[in-house]
Amino acid sequence: MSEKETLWIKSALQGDEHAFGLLVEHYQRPVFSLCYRMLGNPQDAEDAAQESFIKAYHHIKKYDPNRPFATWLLSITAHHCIDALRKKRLPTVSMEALPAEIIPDRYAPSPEQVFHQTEWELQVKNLLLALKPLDRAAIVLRYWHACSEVEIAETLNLSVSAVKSRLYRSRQTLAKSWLELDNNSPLKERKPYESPAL
Amino acid sequence: MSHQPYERFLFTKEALNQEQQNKLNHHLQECDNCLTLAEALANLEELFSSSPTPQPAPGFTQRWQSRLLESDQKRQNRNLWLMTFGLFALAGAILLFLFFLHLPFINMAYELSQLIARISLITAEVRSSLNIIRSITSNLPFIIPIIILLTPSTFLAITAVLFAWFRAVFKLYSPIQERGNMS
Repeated sequence: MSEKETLWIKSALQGDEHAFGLLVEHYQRPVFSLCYRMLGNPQDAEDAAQESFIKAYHHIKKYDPNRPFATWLLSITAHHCIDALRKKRLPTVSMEALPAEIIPDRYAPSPEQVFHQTEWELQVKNLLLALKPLDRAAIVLRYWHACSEVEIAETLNLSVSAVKSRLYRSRQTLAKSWLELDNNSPLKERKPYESPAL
Repeated sequence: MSHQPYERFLFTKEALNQEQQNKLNHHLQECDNCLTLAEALANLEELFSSSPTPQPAPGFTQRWQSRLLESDQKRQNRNLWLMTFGLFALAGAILLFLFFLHLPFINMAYELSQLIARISLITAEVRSSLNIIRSITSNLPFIIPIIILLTPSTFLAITAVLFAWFRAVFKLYSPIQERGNMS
């Protein structure tokens, strides 16, 4: 944790809203990323990320400065997403309330890259959907947040052995889902009809 | 053939010693099922690592600040409702408690309240009477001089009329000689 971050946390602990705003600015990406991978769409992810930060703000007094702030924050986020998935009552956001679409600049990826990226995203989403909420959280923290098993255990309030067991089971499920998706892939089905000359 | 130990080697992702690694490699050469799973896992991990980290739309912090404001207002309203409801619940609970456990006290309190009601009613009546008296007495200064002036003059006038009438009657019934002598 950087010195600046420590200062922001200290000020936030004393009730400084501006300091917490700086923490929101700093941690918005990992929190949003976790929500997106857990919930599968940007609208729900935005909503869950905002709510997680509000929860963190209201419960900042419970934060132990001896623990990493990121772990504490991701723990709140993961549990919020798990609850949202269990309730299956995610609030909807009107399209007008969403920020306007950003016009891509010249450094933006080509349509082909966008297509592949969309395909990958869809594949990732479908694979993660095969997992239970808690297992999904463990996998997302492991692969997108590079968390160790100990950190995952702290974040999800589980024992390290429980995390190992969940990761093992999740990888197994994912590999089997991958094989199923691969067999049902439309790209694979098209191959026999492709022209051999090309 | 048991796949269990090899699947465990594959999916736990723990560091294997040389002997375990050799066993796994040997098994993968023989078992297509485990080889397919190993390849699937490798592809999966490659997909995960190549998948970019999603980012929120610009202005996330500003949206959070406005949402926090809304959330605080909602919390305040909720707390207010809870406090009001809590007070009513507490009052109800106290009343029920007193009603069931201290009925004599309730009767005494009822009688006391009745007494207070009566006293306040009497006080109100006395006060209204005093107001009437005060309103009359406040008008008296205008009436008194009129009464003072009218009463003696009326009395004198009546007395004078009576005196004149008695004299007239006396003269009428007196003897003629007396009237002749007199004349």
